[in-house]
Amino acid sequence: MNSDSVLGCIAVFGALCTVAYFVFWSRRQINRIGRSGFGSARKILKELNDDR
Amino acid sequence: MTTDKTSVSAELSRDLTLFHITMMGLGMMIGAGVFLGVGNSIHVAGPGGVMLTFALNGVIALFTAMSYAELSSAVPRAGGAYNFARIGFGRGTSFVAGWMEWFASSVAGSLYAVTLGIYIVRYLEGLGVLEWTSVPDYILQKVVAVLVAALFIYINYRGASETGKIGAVFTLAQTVFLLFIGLVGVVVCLRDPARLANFDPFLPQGWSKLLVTMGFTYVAFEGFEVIAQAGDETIDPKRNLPKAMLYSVLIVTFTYVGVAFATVVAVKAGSPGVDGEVWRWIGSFREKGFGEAVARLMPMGNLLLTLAVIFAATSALNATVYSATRASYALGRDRMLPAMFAWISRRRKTPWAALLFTGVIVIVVAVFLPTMDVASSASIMFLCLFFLVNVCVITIRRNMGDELEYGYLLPLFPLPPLVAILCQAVLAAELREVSIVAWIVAPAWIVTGVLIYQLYSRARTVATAHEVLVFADEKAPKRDEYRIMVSVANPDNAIELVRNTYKLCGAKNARVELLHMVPVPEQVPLADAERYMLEGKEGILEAMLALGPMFTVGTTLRYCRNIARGILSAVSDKKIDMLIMGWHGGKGGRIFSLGSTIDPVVERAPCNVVILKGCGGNREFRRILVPVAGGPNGAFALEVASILVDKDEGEIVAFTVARPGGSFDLDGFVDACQGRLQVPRRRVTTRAVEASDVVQAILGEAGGPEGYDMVVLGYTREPVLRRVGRDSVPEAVARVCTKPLVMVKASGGIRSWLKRWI
Repeated sequence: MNSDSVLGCIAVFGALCTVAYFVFWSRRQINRIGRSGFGSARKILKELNDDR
Repeated sequence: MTTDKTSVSAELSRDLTLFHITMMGLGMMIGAGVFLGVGNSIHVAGPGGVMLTFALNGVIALFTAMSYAELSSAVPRAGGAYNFARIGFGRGTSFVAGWMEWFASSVAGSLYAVTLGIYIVRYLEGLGVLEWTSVPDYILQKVVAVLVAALFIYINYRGASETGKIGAVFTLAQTVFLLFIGLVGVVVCLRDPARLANFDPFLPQGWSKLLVTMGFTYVAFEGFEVIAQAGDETIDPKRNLPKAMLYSVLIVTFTYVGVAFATVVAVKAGSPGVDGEVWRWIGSFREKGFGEAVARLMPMGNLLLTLAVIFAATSALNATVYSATRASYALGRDRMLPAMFAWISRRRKTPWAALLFTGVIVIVVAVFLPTMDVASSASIMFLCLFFLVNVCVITIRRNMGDELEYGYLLPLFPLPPLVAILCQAVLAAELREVSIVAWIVAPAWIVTGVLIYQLYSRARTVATAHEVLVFADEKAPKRDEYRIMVSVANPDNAIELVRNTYKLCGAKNARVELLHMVPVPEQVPLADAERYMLEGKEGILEAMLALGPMFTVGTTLRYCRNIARGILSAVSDKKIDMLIMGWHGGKGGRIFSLGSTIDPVVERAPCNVVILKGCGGNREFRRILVPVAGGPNGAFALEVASILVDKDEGEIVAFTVARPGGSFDLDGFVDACQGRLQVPRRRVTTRAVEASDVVQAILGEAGGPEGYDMVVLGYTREPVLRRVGRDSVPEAVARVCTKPLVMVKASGGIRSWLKRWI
């Protein structure tokens, strides 16, 4: 395997992981906002920071 | 929403679930980009390049999907990019967004038509059907593309493009098929690891070629716009719209990467007909490369692949045609384009002029541009549109973040939209290597749009409801009283329905809602339906207005895509306990027994359902026949009969047909139901006969010398797979019986799991 193959495989795997991670992170965030009530961007960000 | 005794309220029906809108997005994405793009990508970027192309495009598409998701969660109305641009920048930019969206969707439609042309001709050639003709392939492909495009323009004109749940099932099937191809590729590789050598060299043309292939395949990721367009029709849109956009990107990214992998390993090096390196052999077929490779992957691969392409490109073509039509219709409605773009056919209720102009673009582009130019033009237009949406998400959060109610906020703001903007600009620029024509056509279209806005639209634009930013969703009523809904279909039976309803209402001490569903073709946004769809509805409106004060009922018009789904959605939203519908008694056909509206409503309504047939006139029902065979529907039939029967001297006859060897205790059943009946037990008589033909026995009793005024039946149905071509007993009786008839179904007890799932 040459360097292109190694880098390419890492890039494909990394891209798929990135897509999956952000989608499931976003899903959790949508559910959390849905439970605590919709609101302005400022209110939601404050609540998310408070949760942390 | 409030009900008014002297006016008819109007509301939109929200009946699309997360599953439906996700499938709508997937249906638009999995159309042509993957089928045409895989072979071309292998040709340009090599075997590893094709996988990288789809994987990296998935990341860029995800960043744009997150922008769409945030904006749709804050402004969950139909309109998509056009609406976002109006909120973020005003009318001028929103015109350009609508103008680009119209062209982008139309050109994508051309691409799907061309894809169908290529794959249908390829399949027919494989069968040897085209040997008699010397017409070149590309001409045949164009002819098929034009015919297909013309057919879909006509179908959209007819207004028969209700994609609904069946469309969702087809999309699911084609997605599963593509995932299956990917899985077969993995299995083949595990059994013959030598095929992994097909990936060597991984990037024969270097990394820079990736930008080119990513550019012309980006069209395969454009599905967010159609999901955003469904904002008015989606249940819980603030949650479901963003989820659907993100899920659709996740699914297509994994599917495309799997398919790309399978295409490369599908061909064994050195197998008959394959000369030299495998990737060069696949790439030499260009847009047909995917088909040539996958046909070698599995038995009947050619046929299965052609069917998959036909299903995928068909649903995508349909979706793009109505998406493009909606965009140009909206521009006409807001007078940014001449008013004729918003003209609605009196007969079909579809925007025929917008469809006609859309059809002209689809066909002209399909005929005069080579395939790669069509794909590149579509990609450039979508890249420009998404570029604008990514700018909008930043502007709107900064300027209006404290005013809008968000259901989702994209992470690491504003990094994802900025990365997406940068990447999209680079991809669009790189497309000049593939198609200089696309780089002439797309900017020319945008410049033309700007000129039209400055010279024509600016002075004529009208304010519309789309400028209203936040709409409060209607709150569901509290469940503090028994609620009866009467679905009124025509003015002739409205009074009859309400009069009989009032007997039921009195017994239940209930509140009554009159409902009339107005179907709206998909090419017209639901929010605009009030402008055009009430023509021809004068009779029903008058009847509802007259009945309102007379019977103190709430009266509501509800705009929907599908009447049955609209009624079910209204029943859920308003927490209805009993639904009453009229039935004219016509034939329902092979699939539907009582009709395409009543069947699904009866099967799925989460409440009691009462269907009236021929119960008009100011008559008293002195003697009612109630055929029963036990069960909750039989008990409910007895209860309804006891309410409808003449209170002073009416009589109910509980009737059963005992089959030889049967042991149903009719008297015991009536005794058990006595607590629910509105008449004393002595006025309920029982009668049992023995016969092998139940339907004929009931019909004979109903039409016999006993002189019944009405028949009340409990509804039952066979499971769907056993039902094809035959009715259940109540359906057969209801169809033939000439007496006034009531068919009832108690809430719960849905039998057909398959139909419910569909």
